[in-house]
Amino acid sequence: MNKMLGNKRAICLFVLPTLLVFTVFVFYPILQTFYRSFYDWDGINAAIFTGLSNYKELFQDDLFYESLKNGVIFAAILLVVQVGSATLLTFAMLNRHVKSKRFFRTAFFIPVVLSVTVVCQLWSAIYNPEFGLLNKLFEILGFSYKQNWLSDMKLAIYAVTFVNVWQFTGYQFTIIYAGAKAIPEDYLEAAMIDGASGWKMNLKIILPLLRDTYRMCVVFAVTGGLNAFAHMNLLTKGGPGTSTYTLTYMTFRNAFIIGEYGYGCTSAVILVLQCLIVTIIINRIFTRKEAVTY
Amino acid sequence: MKKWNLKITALMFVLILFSILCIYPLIYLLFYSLKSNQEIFYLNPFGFPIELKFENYVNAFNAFNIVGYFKNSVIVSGVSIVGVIILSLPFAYAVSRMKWRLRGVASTYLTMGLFIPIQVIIIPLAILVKQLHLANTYFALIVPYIAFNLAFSNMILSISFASLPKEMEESAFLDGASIYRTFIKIMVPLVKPAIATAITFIFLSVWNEYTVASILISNNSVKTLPVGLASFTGEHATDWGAMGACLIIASVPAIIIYSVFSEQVEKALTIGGAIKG
Amino acid sequence: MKKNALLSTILAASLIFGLTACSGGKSEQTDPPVNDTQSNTDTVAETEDITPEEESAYGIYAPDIPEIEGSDVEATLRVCTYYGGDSTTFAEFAAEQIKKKYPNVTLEFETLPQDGGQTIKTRAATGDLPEILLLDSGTIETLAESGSIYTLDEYVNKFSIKNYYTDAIMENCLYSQDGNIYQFPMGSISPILWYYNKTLFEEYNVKVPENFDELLEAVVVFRENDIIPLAMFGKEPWPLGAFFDSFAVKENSGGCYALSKGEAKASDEDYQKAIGKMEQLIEAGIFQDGVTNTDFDTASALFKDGRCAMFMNGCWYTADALEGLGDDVDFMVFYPTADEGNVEQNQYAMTGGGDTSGMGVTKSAEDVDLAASIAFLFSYYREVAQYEMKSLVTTPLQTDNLILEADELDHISQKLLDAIDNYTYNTRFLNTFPNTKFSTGFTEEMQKFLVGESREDFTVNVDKLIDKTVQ
Repeated sequence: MNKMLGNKRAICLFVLPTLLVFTVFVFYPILQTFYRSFYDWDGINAAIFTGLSNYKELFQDDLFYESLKNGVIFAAILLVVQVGSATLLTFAMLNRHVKSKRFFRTAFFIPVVLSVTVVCQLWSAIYNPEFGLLNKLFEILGFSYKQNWLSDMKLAIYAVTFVNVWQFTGYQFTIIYAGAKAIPEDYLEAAMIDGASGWKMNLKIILPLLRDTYRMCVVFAVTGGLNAFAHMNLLTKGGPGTSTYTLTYMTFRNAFIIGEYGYGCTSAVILVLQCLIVTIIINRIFTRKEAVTY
Repeated sequence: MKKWNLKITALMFVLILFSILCIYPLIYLLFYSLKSNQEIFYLNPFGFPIELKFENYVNAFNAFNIVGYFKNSVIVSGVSIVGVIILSLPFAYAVSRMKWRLRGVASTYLTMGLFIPIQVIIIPLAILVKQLHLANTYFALIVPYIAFNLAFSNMILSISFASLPKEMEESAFLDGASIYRTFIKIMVPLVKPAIATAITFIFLSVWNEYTVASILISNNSVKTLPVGLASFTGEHATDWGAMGACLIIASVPAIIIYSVFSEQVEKALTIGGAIKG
Repeated sequence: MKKNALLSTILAASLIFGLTACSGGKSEQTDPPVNDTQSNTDTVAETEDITPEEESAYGIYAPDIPEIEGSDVEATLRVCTYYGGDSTTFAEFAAEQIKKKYPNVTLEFETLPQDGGQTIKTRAATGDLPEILLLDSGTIETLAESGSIYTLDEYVNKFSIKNYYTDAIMENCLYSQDGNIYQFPMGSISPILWYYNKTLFEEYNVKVPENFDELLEAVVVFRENDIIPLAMFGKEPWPLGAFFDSFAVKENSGGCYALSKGEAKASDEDYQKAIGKMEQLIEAGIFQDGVTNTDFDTASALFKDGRCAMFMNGCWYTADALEGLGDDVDFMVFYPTADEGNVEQNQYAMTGGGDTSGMGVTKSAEDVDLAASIAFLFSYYREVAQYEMKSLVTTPLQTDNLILEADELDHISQKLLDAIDNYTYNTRFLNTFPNTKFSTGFTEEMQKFLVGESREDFTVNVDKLIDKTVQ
């Protein structure tokens, strides 16, 4: 059997087309980005080679560190809250006693389907300090805790992150749930006979079996956080000031708004490297020698 | 017994609350598409429209060729999905179950596709598309979309493949089947739920994609639906209500696809579970 | 299953509903004129001498341009310009006029993407620009350098465009930094105005301010009564620059434009004065909460609904303001930001102004003569439509041969028309500065200032920015 599974021709046939398309349309542009980061370029006209000076400038740029910090905050919150909520929802959907599961599942996914533009306008209105839902809610409940959610330099990043968390929890949920449902019924029944039930079942039996699924979800959550752009672009345009900047936003701003495409490539390179390193680390943590089989 | 009921009721309550939080935006969008700018932004952002402005839908249809763009979106999405599945299925299988040294490297290499920021590779990508004479055709979008979605599809599929019992192929080989036959006739059908999940997510990613579609396609007859949204932005003001109408039309297929495919996934999983056990 | 099927059916039904709501393609054009007057040409006295050929389906008068003869040539040209909302009407009117000269030329319109220049720059890199493109000072520089657009100097003379545009436009908005002309002017010289709600001022017994002290007093009174003194959409960059300029121009008419050129520093005494005044107002609560996050539509809605007393915007907003507030709205002829007793200094120095914007011809055009002719016709007729339909008194066009649709000018436009000749502009819209690095950084600093950064920090940071970005 190993011979069959090691069939070189088959492997090439299976693997090469994908690698080809990917290399040409994804990797090659990334390489070009890397190449351009050593130049002073506005995107269209002649480029001037400047060696490492873009990188030197980047590491001295306060904006870079702010973007990095925000990316990490974003990633951490996505990881804990989004993956966490998705997990809790999955457990709820696996519970025998919960009714109308199909309704819930579809409901959870609806935010994912909606365009980011609309989601951001909705949350802009909710967060509005004068007439938004959130402050009104606090008023009704009797708290005097009203905030300028999106206009406060310290709070804004959390407010923006939360919108992303909310919108894509359904995404993570669908993946985890599919993974959980793939565990054969009798496997779980056998565990129940052995005495596991409720939370114990969830934590000790189901979670470990979903190791690979979680690896994927964690990679999404973390790289999604580091990579974030759409929500801060729509909600706050990186503001107030620069407190909701992320590396992607910084890249966009430098490349297009200011017209320093080469410098934009520099932050993009750091972004890609960052995500790559993080992915490798996550893989190390999560993979065991053999994949989980039942 | 009483203890159970309390817990379950509480749980149901939380779930319903969360569901409302999730469904409300769709209702918000529906109301939005029937309101005036002032109502959307200040007067009545959250409630039922004071005045039902059905003309927003008329304006949406008049602003650009909605039906044509819709058709283009369908074509681009359909072909992209097929392309991704055809390419990533064998790749995922090879990376997760076949034996070769570089399989881990290949998998991680592909993962890079998950986190490239479009904003920066767009210029090299655009030049590449032009050099390959794909500019302003459906393929200007389809091929990049396929390339971008390979990573995600690979992840989902390879995890699903990997969870199948090691001995799966053995009986087929013993019966004299080739690797190709085994792959197509036996392995692929076993990961149907993963395929359905992948299809759902790829569809969403392509259907709603705006940046690449807007930049790479200038020919109106090839443009996709999200690009049409830009038509509502005038010099000084934007017709948000009409844009909302357009978004409702754009969101409907996505919700339908999700409903249909998640049913498939459910069904396939419950059957699959019995077989695997 | 049932619930899901029900949901799917509802959604499918709404899709079908949506499709059938379509009146089958482009029907009669939309928006009736916003001005609250008849659009019936019969009742306008001056139309007696208009021949039928010069009327248009839009009910406004279209003068002929004899310098362009037109021809039977067949071609399809892509035109990328403003095309949503009102702009559609203007563009279609221009297209109709162009058809009279060039009956066999088809124009394919595309809305100008407002995505920070991504689309235009990328298309320039691949050589896929539309033949006729709306340019402004931001895009002209990059595109000209890369050879993506043609210079139009010879056409400007050939078409005698000085007969159609005002002197101010010809002097200020025609030539780009490198001394060439790349566009046929479109877009006006627009001052940024402080609109205000007359009724609110009367209701709370507040004098409409003419100097800083009165302004501060007004802010305090409105705040006490829970009215937002000034609504501003701080999400976009240029309102922030405009606010800064409103104060700075009284001391140095170059405003923040001068800062961007390194001609002055924020720590200079005169700028410090202006910044100090701003700080006082911010602390008194002049803006609505969440100002740095408010977009135009929200701010405008607040103003039109009578929730705020003043609103800053370019003068193109007049029609919109009148629609919402009618006779309640008015504007201040000069900025109420000078010291009491020193109101005459730079009294009519304004911010805003014009930009080298208009329709240009890109290298994609095969027949440059044709493209240039059409670009000019489009620029011209588009502005004709805007002037006649919207009573845009700041139009870039000479108006002797144009006829307003409205019987008479609304009170704001009339007031503006009387004041315009006094206005001078030594500063401009923040987003049109050549030093984009400065303007982007300055926007961010202003936002920080608005949410509580101290005057000292603001000054230091702005000066640092000037040092970093001015060559």
